Amino acid sequence: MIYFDNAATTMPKPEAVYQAVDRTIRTCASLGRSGHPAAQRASAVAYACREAAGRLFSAEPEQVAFTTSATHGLNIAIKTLVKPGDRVVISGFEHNAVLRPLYALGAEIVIAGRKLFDPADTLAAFAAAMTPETKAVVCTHVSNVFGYILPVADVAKLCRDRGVPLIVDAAQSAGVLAVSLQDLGAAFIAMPGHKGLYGPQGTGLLLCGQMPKPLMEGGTGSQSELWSMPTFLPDAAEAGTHNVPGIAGLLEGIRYVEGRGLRSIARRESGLIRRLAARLKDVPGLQVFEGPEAVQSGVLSITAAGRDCETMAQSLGAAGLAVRAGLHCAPVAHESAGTLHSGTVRLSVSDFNTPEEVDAAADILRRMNTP
Amino acid sequence: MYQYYFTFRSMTQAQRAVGLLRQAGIFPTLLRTPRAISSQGCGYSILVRGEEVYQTAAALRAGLILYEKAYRMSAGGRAEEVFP
Repeated sequence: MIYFDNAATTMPKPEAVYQAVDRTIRTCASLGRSGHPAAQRASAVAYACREAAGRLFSAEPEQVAFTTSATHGLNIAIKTLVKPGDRVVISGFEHNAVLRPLYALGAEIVIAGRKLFDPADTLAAFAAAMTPETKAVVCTHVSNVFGYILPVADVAKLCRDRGVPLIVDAAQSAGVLAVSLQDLGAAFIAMPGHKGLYGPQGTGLLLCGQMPKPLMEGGTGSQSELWSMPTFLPDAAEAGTHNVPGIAGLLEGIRYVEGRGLRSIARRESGLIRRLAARLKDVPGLQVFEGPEAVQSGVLSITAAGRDCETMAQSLGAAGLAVRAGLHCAPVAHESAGTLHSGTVRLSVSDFNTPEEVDAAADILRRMNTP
Repeated sequence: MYQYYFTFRSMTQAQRAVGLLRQAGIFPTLLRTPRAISSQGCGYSILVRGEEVYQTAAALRAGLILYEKAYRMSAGGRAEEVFP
């Protein structure tokens, strides 16, 4: 099987990730709860992971909170900053992990920047939409549907200049592009552990530029006399037993990314996507959503005239090409690109894919779409 | 014979202190804070030797790592604050 569904979760993982999960589930107990060696081993794994994430994302270890997913982190961030009725500006490429918490809170959601692969338009739209009443900005770094790299550093500067807290959804960029809590000055940056960081599913990180409000209350192994949650990081965001095997796997995933280097990974993924787009360009009836190299990461969406995207993805799967079709939990992004009704077929690569796989995938698509 | 504890409210802070002190040539033991000196229940401490107490405090202050309190504890379990 050629696996081009890495925007959902990367597969395979580095071998060290599998080994760490296995070793940890056999040897580590619960972190931060007891003093015996098995608990201390768990605590050491967790701290090593916080340190590694801190190095990669320019954060202090305490600012790195473990979550179950980017969605979990985004919920903490949004529910910390936003109250019912608050005006919140989001990009035109946000995931439902942003849209649905804001909608559930009853926020006034203002969508800024609908033009695909146009960072100047995106930035200008944010600048225009951010009125003095704006309580928060949420911006995805990379669209999970189209791979569009949004100008998040410029949006962050805008937010700093205007004193508006920023939440960054780094679900598709963490482990591929530079993400710095310090440089962005963001209130929160949420990311999964199981995509570009190559950790196991069920892991995620929330980088905290400010104190989060707990999404859940419970045991933290600290200040246990208090009936209220601790008000310090990372404990404030981490009630309940941690996913220690997952964290151990995530640590090895981050080490893999550190070893390969962000630039090498980004260059490889971008090269694969450009190669794929080039080979699909002349396939009859296929629309390829390719942007300029500087603003598209390792994600490519396509549509085929007269073909249902889900049916097409099903056929591709049967032919040995694993992709995702539909709306990718991002209806706002599809509205922006004009693909809400058709959906798209999404092909997404990781550092483990090869040019040969790209060529084979292009051949499958060509055969399937040639009358 | 006394044991010297620096207490922290979170495990992560205590772990950070251990990392910083190792760079300064001090190798403390990280452990759960004894109940007798945990101010709000369930905390973490680092245990250092008597001759390292002042150097430890100075290194933590220089590294901007906030400990809660420093204690010396007798073999019989009597705790006294070192820097009240």
